[in-house]
Amino acid sequence: MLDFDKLDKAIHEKARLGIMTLLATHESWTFQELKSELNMTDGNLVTHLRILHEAGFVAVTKEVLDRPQTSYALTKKGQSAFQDYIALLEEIVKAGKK
Amino acid sequence: MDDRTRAEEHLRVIRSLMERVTVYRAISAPTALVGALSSLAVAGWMLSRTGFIGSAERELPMTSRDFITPWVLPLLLTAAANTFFIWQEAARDQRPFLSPGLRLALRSLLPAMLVAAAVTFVAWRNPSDLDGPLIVALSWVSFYGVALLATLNFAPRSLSVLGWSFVVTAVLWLLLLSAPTLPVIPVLHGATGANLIMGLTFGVYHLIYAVAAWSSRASPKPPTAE
Repeated sequence: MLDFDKLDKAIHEKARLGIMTLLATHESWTFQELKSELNMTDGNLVTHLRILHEAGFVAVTKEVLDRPQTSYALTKKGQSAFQDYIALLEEIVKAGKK
Repeated sequence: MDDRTRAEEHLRVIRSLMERVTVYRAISAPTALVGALSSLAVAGWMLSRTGFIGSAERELPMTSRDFITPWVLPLLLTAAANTFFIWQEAARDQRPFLSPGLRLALRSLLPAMLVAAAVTFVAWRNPSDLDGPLIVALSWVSFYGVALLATLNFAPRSLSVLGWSFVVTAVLWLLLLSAPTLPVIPVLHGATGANLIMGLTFGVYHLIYAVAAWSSRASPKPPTAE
């Protein structure tokens, strides 16, 4: 039986799902780009990024160009978890149609 | 709400976000309008020099340099306008100027643009070649079309239609120039042909694209994920 309990809790939250989705589209995103695209506050975004980082899904790169900049990218584990998450959602949808 | 409905809603959020961030319009409607109007102006002026428009009694010989120099103006003007519009939009939305979408678009456009630039450089170095203008024009039109088609995976449909229009026009023009069974159509040849195809593609096609892109701007924005 497929159900929501089997979904990865770190991803299965709307804001974190948004972050994972964006990181799956391009190689890396800066903090400002994520904030602007998802329309989230600094504190909210920092919290969700920390949860994803602690789960090993997101890699953080800090660099100083003309000013300090933090970039985020999906790790291999994150890519795999995101694909598994989508696959499970699709299975739930298919199972519900039967 | 049952599991299936919740799963569908999550998939919808993923899809709409992915579509929103992966669709990138490399040429905005205002940029296309600037390109169209400047191209039509240069095409009109150049066609009057060749005698196609107005009262000139005979076609003046036009070298590659005579052709390239005026046509660089719309290119510079459109590039400057595009940079300004992208910067303006980035400042308004508080995004970095060099967004992931723009970086991806530049990487995709670059190869075809480089080849077109190389053809232009060679033509510039050989100014006496009177076939030069048509060769340069057909190269610009075809490589510009190929460059736009290189953004196919993340461009809106209108941009791929624009790209195909450039490529098909260049191919048809080439076929009409060399088809043995067809009668010779003088206006397709030489400097007149070169400026006609430039006016048709960079002028008229961009004008149609600008109108289409402007009308599609009214479509609603997908929901954000928070």
